[in-house]
Amino acid sequence: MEKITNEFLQESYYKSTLPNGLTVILFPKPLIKRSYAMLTVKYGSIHQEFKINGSDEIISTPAGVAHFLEHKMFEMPNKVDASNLFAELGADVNAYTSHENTSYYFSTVMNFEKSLELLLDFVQTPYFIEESVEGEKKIIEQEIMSSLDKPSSVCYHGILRNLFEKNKVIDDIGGTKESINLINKDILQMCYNTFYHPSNMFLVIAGNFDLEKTLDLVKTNQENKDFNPYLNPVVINYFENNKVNKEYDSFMMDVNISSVSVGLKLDLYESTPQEILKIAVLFDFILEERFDYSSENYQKWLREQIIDYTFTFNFSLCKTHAYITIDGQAPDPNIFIDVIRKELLNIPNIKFNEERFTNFIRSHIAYQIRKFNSVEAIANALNDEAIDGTELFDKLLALQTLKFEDIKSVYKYFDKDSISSFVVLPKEN
Amino acid sequence: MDIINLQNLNLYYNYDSRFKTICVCLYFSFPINEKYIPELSILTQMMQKTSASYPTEEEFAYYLKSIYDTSFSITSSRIGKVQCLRVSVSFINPKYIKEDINIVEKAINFLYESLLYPNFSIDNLELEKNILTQFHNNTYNNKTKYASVRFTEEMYKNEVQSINANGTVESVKNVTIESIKEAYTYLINSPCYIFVTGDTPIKPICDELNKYDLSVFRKYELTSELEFIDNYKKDINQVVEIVEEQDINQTIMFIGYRSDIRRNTKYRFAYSFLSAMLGEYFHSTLFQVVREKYNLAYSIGSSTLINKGAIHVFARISKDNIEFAKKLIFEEIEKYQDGDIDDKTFELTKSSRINDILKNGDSPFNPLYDLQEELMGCGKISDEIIINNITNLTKEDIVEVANMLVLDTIYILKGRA
Repeated sequence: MEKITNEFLQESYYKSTLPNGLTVILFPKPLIKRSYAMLTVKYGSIHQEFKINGSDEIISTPAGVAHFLEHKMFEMPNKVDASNLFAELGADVNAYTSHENTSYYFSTVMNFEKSLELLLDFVQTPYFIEESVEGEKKIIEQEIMSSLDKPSSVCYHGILRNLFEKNKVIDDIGGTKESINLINKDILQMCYNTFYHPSNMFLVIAGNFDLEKTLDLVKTNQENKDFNPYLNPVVINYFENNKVNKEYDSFMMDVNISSVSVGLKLDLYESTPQEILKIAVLFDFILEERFDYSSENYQKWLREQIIDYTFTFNFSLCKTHAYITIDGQAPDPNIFIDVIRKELLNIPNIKFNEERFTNFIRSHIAYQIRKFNSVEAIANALNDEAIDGTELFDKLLALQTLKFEDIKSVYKYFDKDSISSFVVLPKEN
Repeated sequence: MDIINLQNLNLYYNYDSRFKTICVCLYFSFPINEKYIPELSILTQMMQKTSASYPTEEEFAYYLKSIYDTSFSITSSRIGKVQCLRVSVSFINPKYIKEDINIVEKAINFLYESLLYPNFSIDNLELEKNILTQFHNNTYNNKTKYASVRFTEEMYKNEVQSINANGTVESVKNVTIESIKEAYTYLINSPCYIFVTGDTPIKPICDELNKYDLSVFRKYELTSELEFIDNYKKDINQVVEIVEEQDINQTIMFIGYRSDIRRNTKYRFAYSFLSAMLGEYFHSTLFQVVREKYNLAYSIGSSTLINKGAIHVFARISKDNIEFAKKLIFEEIEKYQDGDIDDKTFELTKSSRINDILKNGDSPFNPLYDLQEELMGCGKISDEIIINNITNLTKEDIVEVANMLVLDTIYILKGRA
């Protein structure tokens, strides 16, 4: 086991890769009562087209398969529901699907080892029957319907479709009513066989557990299972340049005020994970300075009623796509878009203040330290970093080594061709 | 947990080595007073954004960031007919800070000054009134919130429970600097105590607090006149059913039940357990029947208002399935009332509930929850007592409380699409 320590924080964690390819990351916190374990598959909603075993044939799947699989994995043979087995052990279990991965997790104070075995077993026991697959479609359809009634969710998906043309990030994680109707048990099984291999998975555990005993348990559990050879999936990714697909679009809903999203598309594919960490911190600084509630702009726009209290910004950075969105409700969406667009384009001309940069670094170091108050936060950070290809303490290191002058390195991303906007407008009665 | 007398106030101290932050809080409790509802909502926002020393939101936030992102917050909660405000400052333990910035002194000074030297400028007041008005208007856009607000208004008409913590659009208009100052006086004069938690000896914290005059605050006494339990009884002659329509894809349904059970009655554990069995877990009855067996919903669940004796059931369904979903929910509750309770659901709920209680032990505020119970006049409680009560529950206990349920209100926000 490799031990990774940060002396300043007085924290350590351990990493090991098992012979079957499963990466295990263990972060003991013996004084905390609970343990939190998360098993992640590097398979998310954007992985819709792929090749296997070195073949040139592209396999295309409907949008929403990863999310559908997440729902169906809880169903085990003999009508056993995995969540009931966790409840018997006194553990909470849940799962989520994102653009890049699917994660299954539990937390418990009791029966940690049995719960851990159960986590490994239920995710590694595919069981799909046509009847229950059909039933699940109705549940997922309701899940999709609920997001269609949320203006913020409609705006989010709208801006993604404006920013990107081919990248699968434009598809809702759950798919659409039409796409989920194309899913059947054979597709689920094929995608399971392709992506749910230990080589494409990692296990993160944080909390109260015995380090050696836990690693032995995972090893034994994995040694006792037969896995088919890894199919080495090569996902067809659509790396797009920074030009937006569409500059503007809108949608009407039964709401009484418009919701707006202004997006900035970023092209960061050439950067290493460590470089991306630094770029992310620099973007955070710029966004906080110009759009945070504590910024001069925010206060001015709020008083002028260009924005309202829902105003927010988001920075998303994945291996295949990156973007910034600035969102909120607006009495006049055109003014909102105009003001935000001008502000984004003006960023390279702004003289940022070094003292404020130092203060920003200080506050973000504190944010990194606070993370260690919660085993869920630790495990989620380890999970995110494992997906990004960085280590848990790298962000802290990036914060401690960044220089004020580095800000200039991201000015080039604030380009007029990279900006788009999407509006949800009130439907006229 | 230690109790220290500090200038006549009780300071409750929970040493906890597990966390990298230290938290100092002042807890105020006062009767929910309709007169000050929008004022208190606006006041807490104003106090969280500016103070006499930091009169703009930029200056206020910038200073907090400069002391390692110290957080200052005022959170409001309701317990029965009482409103509780927690004013707290949470900061990084100095042992994790390389530079010598005396964070303990600065954070406590910030807490005291923000609380006792607020900035009630007209400009800030007008801004907060605008924000609160936008917040009210925005309810229409959040369909779940809209349905929940409408359901509460209908089920608890003319009761304390129906008073919106943020007032109404009309009441916000009438807020003035004078009424804000009155509400502030009401808050500051209400009983309070201090709670400190973190990996720190208490002496340096007390030394810092003792630099200030705490006699301006009123001590919280156990013999408090506060009514934490809402004993209001409604005569239900007929179930109220309200259906509203909007141009949305999905239908949202709330079903409200009442009972005479309250936090201070012997049935409290069984009642909360009943709600948990019905709809708080994946294995719960309504989730298993409405979602898993009949595939009618993605979201279905229940919750309890133990200080009010109510249970609410919530579902998001297709408009075509309203009657069927209602029928299934009523049937399942009737089965409970008839004693038809599944052994497995009963046992799974016990183990899940106990795990939840044990997990609470990881919160630095956990000892405070037990203390609050005592301060509410509901006697001593601890995780051990709660677990014992849950362990000893029988199916007969659940049947007994299920039979105390009285259906009160059904609210449906129906989708036209």
